[in-house]
Formats: sequence, C-alpha cells, structure tokens
Amino acid sequence: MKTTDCERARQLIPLHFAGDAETRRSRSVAAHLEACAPCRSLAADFAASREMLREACEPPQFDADFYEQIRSGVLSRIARDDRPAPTRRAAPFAALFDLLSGRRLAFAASLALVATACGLGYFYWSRAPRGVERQLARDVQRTTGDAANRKQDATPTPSVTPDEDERRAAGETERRAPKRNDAPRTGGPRLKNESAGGSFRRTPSLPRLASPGPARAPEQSQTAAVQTPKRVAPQGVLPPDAPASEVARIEIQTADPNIRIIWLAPREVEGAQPKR
Amino acid sequence: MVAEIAHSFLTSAEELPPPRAREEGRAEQLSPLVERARAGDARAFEEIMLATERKIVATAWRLLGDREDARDAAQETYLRAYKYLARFREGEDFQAWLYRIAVNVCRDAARKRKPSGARGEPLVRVELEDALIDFESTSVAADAEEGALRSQQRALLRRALASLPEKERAAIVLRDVEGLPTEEVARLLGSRPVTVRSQVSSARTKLKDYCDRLIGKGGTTR
Repeated sequence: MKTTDCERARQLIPLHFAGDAETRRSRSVAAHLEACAPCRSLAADFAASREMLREACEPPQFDADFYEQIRSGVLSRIARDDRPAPTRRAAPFAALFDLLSGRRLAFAASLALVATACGLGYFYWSRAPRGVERQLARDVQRTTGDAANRKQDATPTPSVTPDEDERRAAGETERRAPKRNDAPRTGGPRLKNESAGGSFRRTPSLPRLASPGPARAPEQSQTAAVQTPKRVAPQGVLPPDAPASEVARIEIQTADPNIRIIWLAPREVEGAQPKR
Repeated sequence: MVAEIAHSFLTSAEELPPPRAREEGRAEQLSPLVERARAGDARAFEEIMLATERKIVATAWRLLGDREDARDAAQETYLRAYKYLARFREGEDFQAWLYRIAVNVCRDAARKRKPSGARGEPLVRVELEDALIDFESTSVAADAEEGALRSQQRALLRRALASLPEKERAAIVLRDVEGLPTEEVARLLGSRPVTVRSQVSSARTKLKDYCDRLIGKGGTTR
C-alpha cells in the first residue's frame, strides 16, 4: 500500500510543489509528504531544480547598442514599407470594428447568414402551406358537402304524424292487427340503427308509401309516411275491411328510441286498383 | 549551494527597482503614448519601444535561447504591434497585449528554426558568453572556481531547456520563469489548462533529472 501511495505521489509531486495540482489531489499528496521522507526529498529536489532554472534563465545584460539596433530596425522598416499611420476610425464605427474583428467578425457573419437562411426558409414555408390549406379547405368542404348530400339522400327522415296521439293510436292499432288475424307479420325487415348518430338508411326494398287512396279505417289513416320530415297526409290507407293478410307491415326504428316508424303497405289484391 | 545562488540573485536584483513597480509605473505612462501612436505619432511609438524593450527581449531570449533570435523576434513583435495598433482596445493592458504578440512571434520563430541540438556552434558560443557575463557579475562567491562552475551549470541547464520540445519549453518558461498562472499560459499558447499542466509536469521532470545528473556530475552533493 505504501509503495502505491509513493507511486501516486511521485506522479503528482511535479505539479504539487508549485501549486499546480488540483485541490483534492494536492491535499492527498501533502498528507503523504508529511509521512514519507523520500517523497519529501523528491519534492525538495523539484523545487531546487525550478530555482536553478529561474537563475539560468535570467537574461544577460544587453548593451544599449543592442536595443538601439532593435529600435532602428523597426523604424526603418516602417519608413521603408511606407506603412500608413494607424488612423483611428470614426468613433461610432471604430467601436463596431473593434467589436467585430477577427474571430468575432467571422462569428457575426456566420450568425447573420444562418439568420438570413432561417428567415428565408420561414418565409417560403409560411407561404406554401397557405395554398395547401386552401386546397385542403376546399377538399374538406367538397367532401362535407358530398357527405351532407349523401346523408340527405340516404337518410329518410321520419315524418311526424299530425297528432302524436293519433300516431300512437295508429301504432297500437297496427300492433293489434296482426294478433286478431293471426296473420304472420309481413313486410320488410326491421331496420336498426346503423350508426351512432341514429340515422338509418332506407333500403332499396322499401317502397314509398302510396298516395292517399279511398278512405280507410280511421285507425289506419294515421300511418306514418317515411319520406320527409314534413307532415304528410297518411298514405296507403286500406279499406277498413281489408284483411290483415293484405297488409305489409314494415317497422323502422329510428335513432331515437322513442320514434318508430311503422309502415303499412297494402298488398296487391286481385281485382283491386293499383295504387300510386 | 542553492541558497548561495539565490542570495546572489537577490543581491543583484536589489540594485534595480522591483519589477512590478517598474511595470506599473510604465503602464501608466504608456496610455497617453499609445493614444498618440494610434493617432499616427511615430515618436510616441518609439517611446513605447523604449519603455517595453527590455521585457520583450528578455521574454524572447528565454523562449528562443539565442541572442540573435531574440533580437529578430523583438523587432517582429514591434512591427506587428505597429501594424495592429488600431485593433488595440482602449482600457486594455497594453503591455499584456504586447506580451501576447511577443509570445506568438517566438512560437512562430521556434517552429521555423531547426531543433536546438542541430544548431551546434552558435549555441555553444552564446553559452560561453553567458558564462563569462555571469562570472563577471558574481560578486558574492568567494571562490572563482565555484562561480565558474555555477555559470557552467546555468549554461548547461539552458541547453537542456532548449532541447525540450517546443511546447514544453514554452509552457515551462511562461509558467516557472515568467511566473504566469496556468490559465494565462493556456490562453497564450492556445491550449487548455490541463494540457499546460501536463506539459509543465513533463518538462519539470526532465529538467529535474538533468539537474540531478548535473549536480552529480559536478561532484556537489545535497
């Protein structure tokens, strides 16, 4: 262990004795020197050699002619080269020139170049997306319009019966009809909501309700038409004595669970007049 | 022996005012001269040279180890200073600015010239001159032989210094001889403080080993 400490100290003594070692390491070396005589002697040798170096590097006393040679050489070179006297620039520019000399000038120039490049890039970038944004807006608008139109076409808005009570009554009547006649329920499939929005799509198989025909049973006169949200007159009213087997019942559940469309489409009976 | 050398050194140094006081006084005197020189006054620039030439020459001599090289380096230092005088900022220490120019000039000169080992005779001639000068200026040593031996040792040590790699030599001269802090040395040499410490440590170890052999060679024991 002692050998290792001495080895470490010998590596640091050339710096430690002159105060050039780091504080932490210097403390460890100082502690070691207090306990180790050979290392202490080594540190003293280093100090002595440095002192000898300083003495050896003491410059000789050059005579006056030596210095005169230097001065005359400089002045003659200045005169021969006809170097202009260093003129002071105007005060505002002198400070700027002094500030931007050498490396500072290069740094400032590169900084200006980078800033210019960034500014140009931002300028072109800010211009380009606007056209793209306009195009995007047009596309979105077009898409939205198409979707709205498709939605409008595809979404058979339920019609509202003139009277809520009558509609309810019509619904009850329709529900009762199949039971009385034990006739199987016919008609199109019961359509459920297909989207979270509650809209439903009209299947091509669902025919439009026929125009109002001859008077029908009061309880059947209030069936809902399924085409527009406007209040329409009930259509497809069957004669009161029409058997249940001649009625095609179609129930359509809207997104609103409280609204159900029941469509009674009369079957084509032999000899009956075709309905519009 | 070391104490005697140090005593002789201190004795000779007492004849002149303390270097720091001289430098501070000259720094105050330089400010108006610098302003006049920047305005184009050649006489003011000459006064600046008179005030700073000893320091610049001494630094150049320590870094280059040769009298002629030191003179050339000092001339180049003042020429560069005159050329770039307009870049000198007011309020900055002119001597420190001039000193940095001198260090850069000496580094350039050291790179251009051949290694000191190949110089041969000029180095030996300088060493002999220095030995004679040191011998003549020594007034304390009673034994002439002791003085001559001391001069010879200094010359040999300078030779050893000149044989160091250029970066290590510059680092140890600026740190140990000029007394600059490590950070300042790193700034002058364009490197990092950790690099300077490494270079100084290596140079000190080499010179210390040389000094041990030198002392042992001279027969003087410690």
